[in-house]
Amino acid sequence: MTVAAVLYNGLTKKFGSKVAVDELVAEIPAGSFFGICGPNGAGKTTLLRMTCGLLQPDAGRVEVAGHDVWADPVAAKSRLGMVPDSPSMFTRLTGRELVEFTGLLRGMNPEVVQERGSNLLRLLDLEEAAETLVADYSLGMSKKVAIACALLHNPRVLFLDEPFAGIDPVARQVLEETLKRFTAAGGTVAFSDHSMDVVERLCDRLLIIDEGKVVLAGTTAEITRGRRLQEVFVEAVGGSSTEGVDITWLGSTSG
Amino acid sequence: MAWLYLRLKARLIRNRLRNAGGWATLAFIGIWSLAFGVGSVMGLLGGVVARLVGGQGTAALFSLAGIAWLVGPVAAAALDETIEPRRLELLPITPTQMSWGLLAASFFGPGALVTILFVVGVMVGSSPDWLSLIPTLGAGIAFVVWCIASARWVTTLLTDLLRSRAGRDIAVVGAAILGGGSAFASTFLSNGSGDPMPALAAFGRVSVYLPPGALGRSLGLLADGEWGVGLALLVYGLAAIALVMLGWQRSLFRLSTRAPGRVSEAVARGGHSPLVPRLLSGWPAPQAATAGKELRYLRRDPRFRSQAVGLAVALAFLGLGAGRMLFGTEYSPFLAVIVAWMAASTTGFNQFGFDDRSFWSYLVTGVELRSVLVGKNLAVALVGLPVLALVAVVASVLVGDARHLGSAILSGAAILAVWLAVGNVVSVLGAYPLPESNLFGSRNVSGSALFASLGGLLAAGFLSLPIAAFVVVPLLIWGTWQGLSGAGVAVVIGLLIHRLSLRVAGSLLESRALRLLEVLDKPPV
Repeated sequence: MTVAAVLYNGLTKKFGSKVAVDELVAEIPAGSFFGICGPNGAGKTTLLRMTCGLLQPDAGRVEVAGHDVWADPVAAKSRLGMVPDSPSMFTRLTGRELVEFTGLLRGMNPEVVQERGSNLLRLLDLEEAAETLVADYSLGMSKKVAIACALLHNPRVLFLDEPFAGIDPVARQVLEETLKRFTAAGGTVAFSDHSMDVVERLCDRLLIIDEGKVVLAGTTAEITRGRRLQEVFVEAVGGSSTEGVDITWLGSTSG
Repeated sequence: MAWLYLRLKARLIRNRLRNAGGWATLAFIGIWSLAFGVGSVMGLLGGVVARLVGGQGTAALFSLAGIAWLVGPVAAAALDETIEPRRLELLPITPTQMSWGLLAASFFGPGALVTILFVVGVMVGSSPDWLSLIPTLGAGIAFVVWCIASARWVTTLLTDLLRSRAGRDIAVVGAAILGGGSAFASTFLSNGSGDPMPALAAFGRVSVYLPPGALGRSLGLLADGEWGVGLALLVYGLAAIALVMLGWQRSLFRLSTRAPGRVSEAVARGGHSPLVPRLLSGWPAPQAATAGKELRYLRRDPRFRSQAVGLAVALAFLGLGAGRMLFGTEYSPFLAVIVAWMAASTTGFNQFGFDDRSFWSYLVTGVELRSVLVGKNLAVALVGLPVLALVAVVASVLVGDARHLGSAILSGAAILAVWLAVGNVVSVLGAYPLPESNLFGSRNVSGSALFASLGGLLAAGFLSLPIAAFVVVPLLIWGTWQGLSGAGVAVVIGLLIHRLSLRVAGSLLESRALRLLEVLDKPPV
C-alpha cells in the first residue's frame, strides 16, 4: 500500500465569487515525482500556497506526511519545503548566509546547517557565488539558492511552482538531477509547470486541474496512453481555436 | 504626438488609481494639493525676492531651481515610470518624437506644477505693471522647459545606474547628505548677517552665465524693457535647451538600442563570517539568526542606511538646535535619550515592512513568529545601546561633567525598550510594504496602517511619561544618586512593558500572519 505524502480532502478556496479551488480531492503518493498541470488561472499556485500554509482554505483539509497543515502547522511545515515561482528572498544576504538563516530559523543545529549548506551550494553549483549577495544573482541562481533553502532541513515533500521557468539548460539539468536524486532517496517532489514536455519526462504521476477541479489524475502512463501529454492536456482542458476570427490580413503584403 | 503622450500618461495614472483604491486617490489628491501649496508659497517668495533684488535675484533663483531639478530626481532615483521609454522602444517612434512626447507628458506632474507656480510668482514680482508681464512669458516658459528637459536628460543618462543596487545606494546616501547639507547651508545663511539678499545678488551675478541663470536674468531685463541684452540672453537659453534636447534624444536612442546595464557583482566584504554574532551564541537559533540577518541588513540595505544617515543628520541638527539647551550643562548626556528614541522609532513601527515580499520565508519555515520579533528587537538594541552610550559619554566628556552619565544611559535604555515595545504591536497591526525600489516613503500605506502608526506614536509618548518622571523628578528634587536609582526603576518598567508587548504582539502575529502576508505580498503600486 502506498503512503500518501500529501492528501487533499475537499479543499476549497474562493476569491470573491471566483472559485479558485473547488472541493479538490487528491493524493500525492510518497516517493513520487508529481506534476500538477493546468492552464493559466486553473488554481495551481493557490493549491500550492494552501498546501504550504501560506493561504487559508475556505473548506477542506490538507495533510502533509500525515499532519494537517492547518491543525498542526509546525509538524507539517517541518516536513515540507517550498520554492515559489518567483521567490522573493532576503536579497541583502549572501547565498551562504541565506541558506544558514533559513536553517537556523527552522531551529536546526548550526553545525548541521553549515555542513549541509556547503554541500547543497556545491551540489547546485553555487559555491563560487556563495559570498555574493542574492540581489546580484541571476534568475537561475536565485531559483537554485531557493531550492537549497527548501532542501536544507531534508523535507519529506518538496513543492515547486514552475521551477524551470526562465532558467538556462545547464541550470535546468542540475535542478533535474538534484530533484531526481531527492525522489530516488525517498523524497516526494510536487511541482507545477506549463511545459508539458518537461512534466511528461520527469513525472511518474500527474494531476491536471482546470477551474479548481480535478480533470485528470493518475500515473503518467495511464493518462497519456501512448499519446503526447500536450495533446491529452489540450483535449482535457479544452483548447481555444482561431475559427471565426478574421485574420486573413495577417501576413499579407497589403500592410 | 505630444498630445498622445499626455493622454497616455493621464490614462496610466487613472488606471493605477482605480486599481489602488480610495486611499491612493486621497494620497494623489494630497500630493497635488501639497504641490499647489508649495508652488504658491515658492511663487510668493520668488516674487518678493525678484522685487527686492531685481534681475540678479531672478538669475540666482532660477539657477537654484535649475540645480534642484538636476539633482533632485537623480538623488530620489525618480525615474518617471508612468511612461517608461524602454516600453516604447519597439514602436516606430523616433527619438525626436519620443523626447517631445515625454517632455509634454512631464508637464503633467507635481514637480512641474510647483515650478510653473514659482515662475509665475517671479514673473509677477519682476514686472512693474501687468503689461510688462507679456515679454517675460517667453523666458518663463523656456525656463520650465529647461528644468524638465535637463532633468529628464540626466535621469535618462543614468537610467541603468539608478536601477542598479549600487545606484540606489548612492542615490539614497546622496539625498540624505544633500538634504542635510542644504538645511545646514540655510541655517548658516540665516545665522550670518540676517539678510540673505546680498548673497543672492552675488550668486546671481555669477550664475547668469549658466542657462537657467541667463533665462532668469533675461526675464528680469525683459520686464524692465531692456530688450537688447534681454533677448540675447533668451536666445542663449533657447540654444542651450536645443542642445539639451539633442543630447536627450541621443540618450534615448542609446537607451533603446543598448542592452540593459549589467548589475555589478557585489561580494560581501571579508568572505564568510557566521551569520549569528558570537555575543548571541547562547540565544535560541531563530532569534539569533533573525538578529544576525537584521544586523547584516543594517549594513547593506539602503533603506536602513538612509535612516542611519538621516539619524546622523538629525543628531547634528539637535546638537546645533534643540541640543544647545542641553549642551554646556551637566544634563548634556541626556542626548542619549533622543538617540534611543530615534533608533527605536525609525525602523520600529513597521518592522515587517522592511521584509516586504520575503515575509513568506518566515511562514513556510513554521518558526514561532514571536522569535522573529525578538530577533529584530535584539538587533536594534545591539546597535542602539552602544550608540546611545557613546553619545552620552562624548557629551559628558565635552562638558567635563559625568554626574548624570549613568542616569542618561539607563534612561536611554528604558526609552528604547518602551518604543520598541509599542513598535512591536504597531508593526503587526499596521504593517505596510516598504520595497527597496521605493526608498522615500511607501505609496502603499493603507488607512489602517496610518491609524496604527499614529496610535502607536501617541501610546509610546504616553508610556514614556512615567519613564521620564521616574528619572527627572528624583534628579531635580533630590540629586544625582536618587536620579540614578529612578533611572534603574525606569529600565525595569521599560523591560516589563517590552515583555508584555512581545506577548501581545506575538499572539497577534500568530493570528494575523496570513493577513500580514497578504498586505506585504502586494506588488508595489
